[in-house]
Amino acid sequence: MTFNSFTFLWFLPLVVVSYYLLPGRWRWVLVLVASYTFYMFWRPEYIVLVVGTTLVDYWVGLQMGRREAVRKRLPFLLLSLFLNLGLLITFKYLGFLSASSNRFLGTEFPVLTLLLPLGISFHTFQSLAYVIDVYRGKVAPERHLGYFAVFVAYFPQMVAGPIERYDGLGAQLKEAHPLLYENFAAGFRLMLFGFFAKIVVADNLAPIVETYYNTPLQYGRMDAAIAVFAYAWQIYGDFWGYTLIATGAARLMGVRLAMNFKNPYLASSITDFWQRWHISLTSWFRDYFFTPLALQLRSLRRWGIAISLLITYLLSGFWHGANWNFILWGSIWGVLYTMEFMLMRFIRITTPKPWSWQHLLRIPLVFIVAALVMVPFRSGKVYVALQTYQTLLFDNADSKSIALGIGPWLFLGIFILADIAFFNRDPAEVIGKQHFLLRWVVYAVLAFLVLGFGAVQEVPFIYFQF
Amino acid sequence: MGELKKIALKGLLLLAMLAGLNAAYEHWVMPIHIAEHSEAGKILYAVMDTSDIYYVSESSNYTSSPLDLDKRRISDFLNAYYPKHRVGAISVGAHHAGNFYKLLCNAPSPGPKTVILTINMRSFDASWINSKLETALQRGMMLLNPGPGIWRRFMLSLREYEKKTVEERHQDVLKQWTYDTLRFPYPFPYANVKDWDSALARPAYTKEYASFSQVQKQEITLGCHFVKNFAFQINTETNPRIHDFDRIVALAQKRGWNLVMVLIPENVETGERLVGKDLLFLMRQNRDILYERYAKQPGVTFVDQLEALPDADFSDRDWPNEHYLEHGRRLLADRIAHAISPLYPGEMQIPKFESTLPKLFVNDCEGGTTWMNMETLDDAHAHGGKRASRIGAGGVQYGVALAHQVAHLDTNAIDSLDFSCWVLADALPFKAIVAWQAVGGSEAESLWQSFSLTDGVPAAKTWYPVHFRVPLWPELKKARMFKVYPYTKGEVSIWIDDIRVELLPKKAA
Repeated sequence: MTFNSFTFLWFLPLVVVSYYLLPGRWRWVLVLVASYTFYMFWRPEYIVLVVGTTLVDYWVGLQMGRREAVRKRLPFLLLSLFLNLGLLITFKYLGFLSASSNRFLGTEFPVLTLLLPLGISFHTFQSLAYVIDVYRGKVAPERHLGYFAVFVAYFPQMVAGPIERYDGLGAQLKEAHPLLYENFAAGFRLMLFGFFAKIVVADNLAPIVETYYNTPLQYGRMDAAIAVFAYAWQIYGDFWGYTLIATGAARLMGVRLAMNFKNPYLASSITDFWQRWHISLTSWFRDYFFTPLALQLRSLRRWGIAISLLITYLLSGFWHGANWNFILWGSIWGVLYTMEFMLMRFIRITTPKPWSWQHLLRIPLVFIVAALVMVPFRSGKVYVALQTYQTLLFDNADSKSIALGIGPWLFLGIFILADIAFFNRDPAEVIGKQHFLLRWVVYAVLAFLVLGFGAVQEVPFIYFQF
Repeated sequence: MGELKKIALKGLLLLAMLAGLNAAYEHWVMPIHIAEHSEAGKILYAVMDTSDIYYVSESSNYTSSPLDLDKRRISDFLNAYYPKHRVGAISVGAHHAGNFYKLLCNAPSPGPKTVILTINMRSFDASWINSKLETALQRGMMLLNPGPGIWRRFMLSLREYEKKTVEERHQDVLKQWTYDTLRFPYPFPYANVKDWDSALARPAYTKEYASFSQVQKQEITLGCHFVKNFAFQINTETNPRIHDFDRIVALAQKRGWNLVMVLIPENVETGERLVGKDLLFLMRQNRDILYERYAKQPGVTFVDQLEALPDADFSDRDWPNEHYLEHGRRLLADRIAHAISPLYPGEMQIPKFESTLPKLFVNDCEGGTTWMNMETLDDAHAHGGKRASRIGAGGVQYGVALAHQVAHLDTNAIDSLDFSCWVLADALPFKAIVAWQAVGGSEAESLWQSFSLTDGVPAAKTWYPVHFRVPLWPELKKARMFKVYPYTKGEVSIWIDDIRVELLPKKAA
């Protein structure tokens, strides 16, 4: 089941109404059944993997909780890492690794092409975060299997995040959530804007991007630039839209999910960008990979941090997909981030005051960099990305033009204005604080656009493929 | 309770807002979206306010055949019989009664006086019901479904229509071909479509197949297509088309329309020739079922034209389609016009259609002529105008071709061919010909002659005229089609322009 489906339109109200009709102690049963049902709409048999991850990490958590010494917890951590990452490698990377080995090393491994379980990278990382936190003694092991199962499979965010921590989502699942108008209003606002971002903005930009990337060699510099620009907004609208719908759906049940985006295209530096883009994944890598690695390399001082940054972003690219284009994408970010970090030694790069002239000057620069780095992400193949860069640099004179309608750009204009209005704040809060009349005008405009102007062609959520 | 009350109040306010948004959407935006997303809806909107007779059909109404000089649709010919009325054609390829019903639900009130609705027998068959085009058709019909306009548009963006994959639909077809038993009142060797089709296709898996002529091979394939498209028995309980036509009849009765149901012609002649009388038995049996069900309904005029047209009136040769050549379309229009004359007493005027098939055919190669292979037109060279037909180096062997049904030529009055054109070759030497050929019919298969284009070439890259006059074969009248075309197998690019083909009467030969 996806958020942009008719099934979800009746599924969510049914779950929410049942949620508030049930006494607090039984709600986890409902949410677990709902979460597994949500997942099984895709491929019922793959629920076995989710249940397997849940049982293993639940048991691992309990075992680690019984041992005081970190040393004694280590085998259980390793077991969980082995099983979770093994699952991820088997389904996501094995085909790529064997194909690459055959290509570059001349081996003859069979190339497996397994269907990637929906959201495996997300729920595996979420479950791993719990195990590592228990190992570190940061959170106590969960003794209630039901709550832990809900934490791993919580349907609003299970397939594409935000990647939650146990001390965030886990704790909230146990809280009594009384029926509050405030939660309903905030949930509604988030979902409405989320649907606008996804089906009106991102999905209407998708055909422009697709037209270019289907035959990139046929287009010239201007069209390549339009496609690159459009994709930067498409992926943002798509992923942020998904996150807002997820956050809104959870909020209807009183749960506040982590913020995954904070106006990344209004960032003033690369560092700032990564504190605003896919925040839950960035913080996961920071807490569970970058920091331990940088500590290991602390003797190298700044170079240790630089190396850790490079490796982290390379890995982040690989996390996104088993393909060279994602590795290229991660590598470029790693190099840029590291360069900025190293430059900080010579130039003092401070965070400018919001909307100061320094900030305003930096916004387009960071956006252009981000849009250009997104090229390999969309290209699918490294050579397509390189072709696009080549077209952007050396115009292809014998080119045709992408047909452009006004609609997608008009919707994008509204989206950008809203993004500016939401700067550093929760969209639900910003809308909620407006005068009654203005608030309802906003609802009316968004609802009109969502209901009447959603894209007609199917554009799956981009991050569902990870 | 206070929180619940607040939520309920805001919910009501939201519903009121949505009602307002829907009204605005339906008034200002929906017609634009229908034009954008629904071909059928766009056509309906274009004709619904100006026509008092609707002609609702799939592609059988019109032609795309290069053999037709007069491209008028059946509905256009029909309109000529009733000049005081306006026959609005709502004709969309691959559509069926299920979609026609949704379309007609959107007709305005009071709307048309008469709805002429085609019944395509193939549309009752498994392969059409489960056609791979169905998902796209359903998407196109979304905005015409009942319910608030803005909701329908939202459902369109959520793709809330039947969207089975091509493979799923194919499996559904195979299932029906395998498990739907064919029942005859006499012994018949095949239990279902699958067995019958396999038996017909069996020669293709024998050693002798290699020695079969191209025509024989094509006829085996075509015979199998006939079986797969017509070997079924309509089950009035389960066939979805019956349900659709029933709903249309009920709608017409409710809205007070005269409903004229036209069972359109199928190529029964070829079907019988290639498959046998058993197939004809099934087609007639299905016709009788439809007649029994609808002919006696109040307000319905049933026009049975299943066997009205001979093979020569069908344009498609490789598929059992309902695409008619000009002669067939005119004949069908005439039949319908007479059938509806009781609904318009004293109003029918028999039009005088001029013979549209001349004996002189000219192609200036500028693109405005309905010959075959017009995609060979190229603007690198031209004798007159801007373009000429290019063959040769590009891999294209056949240039623009004149092709006509022999049945529509006055073969008794003609006996020779006068041909002229201008030719330019990119380099010398080269090999190219103009061929004239009679196609179809066992005796006519070998009727083929040619004239070399290489005689009298002054130089490369220079236009030179070609002209010849030759007698035609007496056996031409037994052929199905007559073609004239330039041809080369060589590597040199050749341009042909300003072609003139005249079929000369006997005295001039």
